[in-house]
Amino acid sequence: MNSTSVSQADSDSVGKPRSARAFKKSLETNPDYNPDVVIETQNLSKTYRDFWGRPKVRALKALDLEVRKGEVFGLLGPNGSGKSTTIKLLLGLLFPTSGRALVFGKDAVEVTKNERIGYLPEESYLYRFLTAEETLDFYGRLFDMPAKVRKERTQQLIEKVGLTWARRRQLKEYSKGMTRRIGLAQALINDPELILLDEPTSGLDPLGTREMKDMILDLKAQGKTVVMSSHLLADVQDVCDRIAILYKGDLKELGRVDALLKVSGETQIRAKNLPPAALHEIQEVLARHHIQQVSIENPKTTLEELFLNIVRESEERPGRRGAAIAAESEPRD
Amino acid sequence: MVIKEFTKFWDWLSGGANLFNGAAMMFLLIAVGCLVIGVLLGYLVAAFRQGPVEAFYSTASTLFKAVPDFLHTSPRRVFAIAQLAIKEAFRRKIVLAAAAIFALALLFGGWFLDTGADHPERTYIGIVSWGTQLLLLMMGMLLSAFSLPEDIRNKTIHTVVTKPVRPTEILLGRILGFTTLLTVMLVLMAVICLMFVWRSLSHTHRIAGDVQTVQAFVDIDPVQRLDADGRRVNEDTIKTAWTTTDHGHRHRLQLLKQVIKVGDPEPTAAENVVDVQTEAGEKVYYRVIIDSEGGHSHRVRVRNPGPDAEIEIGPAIGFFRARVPIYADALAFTDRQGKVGEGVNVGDIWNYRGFIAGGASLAKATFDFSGITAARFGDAERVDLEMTLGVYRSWKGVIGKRILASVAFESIPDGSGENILQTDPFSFESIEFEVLNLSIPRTQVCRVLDESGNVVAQNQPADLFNDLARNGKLRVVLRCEERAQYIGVGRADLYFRAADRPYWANFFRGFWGTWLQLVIIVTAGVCFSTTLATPVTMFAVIIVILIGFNAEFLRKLLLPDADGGGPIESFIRVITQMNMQTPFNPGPMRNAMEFCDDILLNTLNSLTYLVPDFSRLDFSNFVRFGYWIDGDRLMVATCLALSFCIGLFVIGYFNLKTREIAA
Repeated sequence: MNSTSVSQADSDSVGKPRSARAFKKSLETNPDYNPDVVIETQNLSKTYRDFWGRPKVRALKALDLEVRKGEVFGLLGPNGSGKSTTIKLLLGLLFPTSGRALVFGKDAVEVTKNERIGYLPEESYLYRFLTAEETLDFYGRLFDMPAKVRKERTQQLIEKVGLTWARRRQLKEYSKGMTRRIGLAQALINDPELILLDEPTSGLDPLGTREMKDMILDLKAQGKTVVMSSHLLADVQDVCDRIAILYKGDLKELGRVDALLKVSGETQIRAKNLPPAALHEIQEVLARHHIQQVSIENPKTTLEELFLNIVRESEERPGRRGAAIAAESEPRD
Repeated sequence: MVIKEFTKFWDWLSGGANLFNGAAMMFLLIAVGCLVIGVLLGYLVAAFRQGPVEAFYSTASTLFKAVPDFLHTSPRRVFAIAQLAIKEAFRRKIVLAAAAIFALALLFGGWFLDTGADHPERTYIGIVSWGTQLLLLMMGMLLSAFSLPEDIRNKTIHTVVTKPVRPTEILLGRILGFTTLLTVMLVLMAVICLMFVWRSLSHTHRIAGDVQTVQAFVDIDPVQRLDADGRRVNEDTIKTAWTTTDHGHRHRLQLLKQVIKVGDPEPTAAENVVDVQTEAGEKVYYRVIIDSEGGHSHRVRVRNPGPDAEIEIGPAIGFFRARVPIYADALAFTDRQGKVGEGVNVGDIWNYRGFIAGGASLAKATFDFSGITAARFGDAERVDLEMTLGVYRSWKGVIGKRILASVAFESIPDGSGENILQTDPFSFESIEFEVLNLSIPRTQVCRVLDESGNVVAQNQPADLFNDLARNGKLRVVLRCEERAQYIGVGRADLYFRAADRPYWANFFRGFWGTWLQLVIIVTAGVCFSTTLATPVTMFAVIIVILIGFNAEFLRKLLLPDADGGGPIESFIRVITQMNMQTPFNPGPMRNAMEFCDDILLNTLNSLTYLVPDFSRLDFSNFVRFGYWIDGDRLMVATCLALSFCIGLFVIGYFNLKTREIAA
């Protein structure tokens, strides 16, 4: 879908009233719910308005997404691209201007869906006057967990995020890295099926970043679904199965990371211990096809290069969908 | 103390005979009305943003989704949020700051209070009640107004609402948390205040002079019956003395000589008897009494009765009372001609007191009581009848002499054909602005009247409970006995006094009203803050407090027939320097002005009903003046507060539910 059609769909859905059936559906779990699809957005749009209701910023334009069970999904984009807006819409912190966001087949504003969700906000918005133990106990109680379960889970998570030594210190005494860790622990208190991480590595040192990424991969290994937003490309490249690249509210690219980074039309030959003399012969060998091939494959660009190409292209030619850009973003000689 | 309401809780709630006059039905009707208005307003806002059809579905969806939110509210989550609110208040040292202010006020408050004043307990209790109320209301306002907006500003709310937490739980948790915290503080403050008042007023005296025996007493002038300072003494007084001046006052002691003639019953042994002698074959009791001063007296005890008996003055009594008044169900006035009316109007206090013309046998005030049983008075031999009368003199009368009045008792028959028992009038001197206590013997001498009013028997002994009030009903007839003078009385001014209740219990009952005010303020603060920023929330809560405490005054001010007219008329009168009573010239301008004023006054008057009348939740005067706060009054106040809280809570819920937390 290119951005022209997105705008069309957006304006259609704003102008067209919902049917009574849609209203009825909004009150109950979607009967067409596919358990393998954890998140589904349909024409999801968000326009911020001023006090008088006049449109101010179109933060998200007709986003269609599906996140499947067990995958690590990355939302990628520069600042102001709509990543956080998407996550907030999925959590019910914002209401869509038009379209729908379904989580576990339920409307995103439905409270009960939160029982299966863990959320780590961009900054760890936690109560700074609580200790680590009190923090996890408090969030455990919000999940209606019995005291015994809460206590066990609190101990496990504090150990897991490596804060045993600081468990009784108030969070106001914590460093940024420690706050992120306890933030992650609170997101996991209910052993959620879906974890939404907003800029999970923001503010972490390289070691902390590595640990966070390991934890995400660990969650994936446990069969959890992870949706993370980031503008740190290396993080996304390292852990995500699929990504969506957003730019100024438009979905520019969506697909598997390895597929998106694959550059077609070029061949890469990798050889082991190639002697200098052999280097000279490569061209002949290649010409005659007589050298033993160690590996021949398509080369890959970096995610950073792909991302910058999309942003550059979007600024030059606004409204074009990323597929065309991706095709053009292959390395040039 | 003026009491205008004598509500019975059940009658108030159910409306008695007419269900639609009951508070419960009124609440339901108002709730339905508010819901309809709320839905319409919500629809209009949604229609403005989403269009009329989409708005219909979103409004209906919000309404339908509210039902599970209310039904599935989890106590564990509510308590978790409540506990968080308490921890926040403690760890941010808000409680410490309030405690410090309270401690400072108590430490230095005593410097500015006069223990020697008349009824110092009233000043003390008034000050501590007011101070505690002010401090806690301010604290309740600050806690509730800051909490939710701060959570939204710091985005800590994001980690809460992304859990399975419903708006009902967020609101209830905060309200419960702050209320619990303030309740604990209120109880602690009430205990400290009680101890402070008790310790401040607790005192005793010694007899002025070198000895603590009757030798310290001096003779009175037996002819004028005046003491050495020229003050009147009792009929039996032979000597007087003074106590030392402590706490800014002193008391006069009187030595009474009471002769018990042969055949008279001997007085029961009392601790204030100094000596008992036999003179001319008659027993003579010498006893010491102490005069009341500034609203209190002291216990007097005599050790080793005899000529050298030591007199000991004990602690103050009378400061801390919780009188249990039994008020009349109805008060009726009869004028000089015997016509039933509202009493004579002698000025602008018509609404509360009616006046009885003196010297006219038909002019009277009749108080009809019910529930007068011996059990209620502890089967006592004497019954206390107390009254606070107003006196209006149409001429100055005899200087120094008080106006005479009388009371008589009558039975109230259940049906026709029954005779009426009637006692002779019991005369007494009225005291203005003071509680006058008449101790009425249980055994009375009555005449018996038939239903036509003819006397059928005279001088019949009758028991107050078993005969006069055999059906629990009793009529008290009050008359003014002096010609051309007037006695004024309201329904609460004359009551039977049942056995006193514990003062401390009444003290805490007094704080129940403060607690209800706190709950309303906290609920208002939390619910307003769901949509308003902190400063605006505080402003709104201050408006609620100001209107709440001055609701009666504002309603009086907003009466259409008030002097000076409405806002426009008053403004014109001010700028043209026109007298309040001078009428405007008739014409279209006057009509327009009055029309606009009517609309403004009615609108403003209606708005005052959106805020609870805090004066109905304020029981401090009952405690100050030493009256027991009855359960009906407390129940009515509780229901009133609860109904406002429910309304505010529902508004807060829909605000939070329809609010984009992250916007």
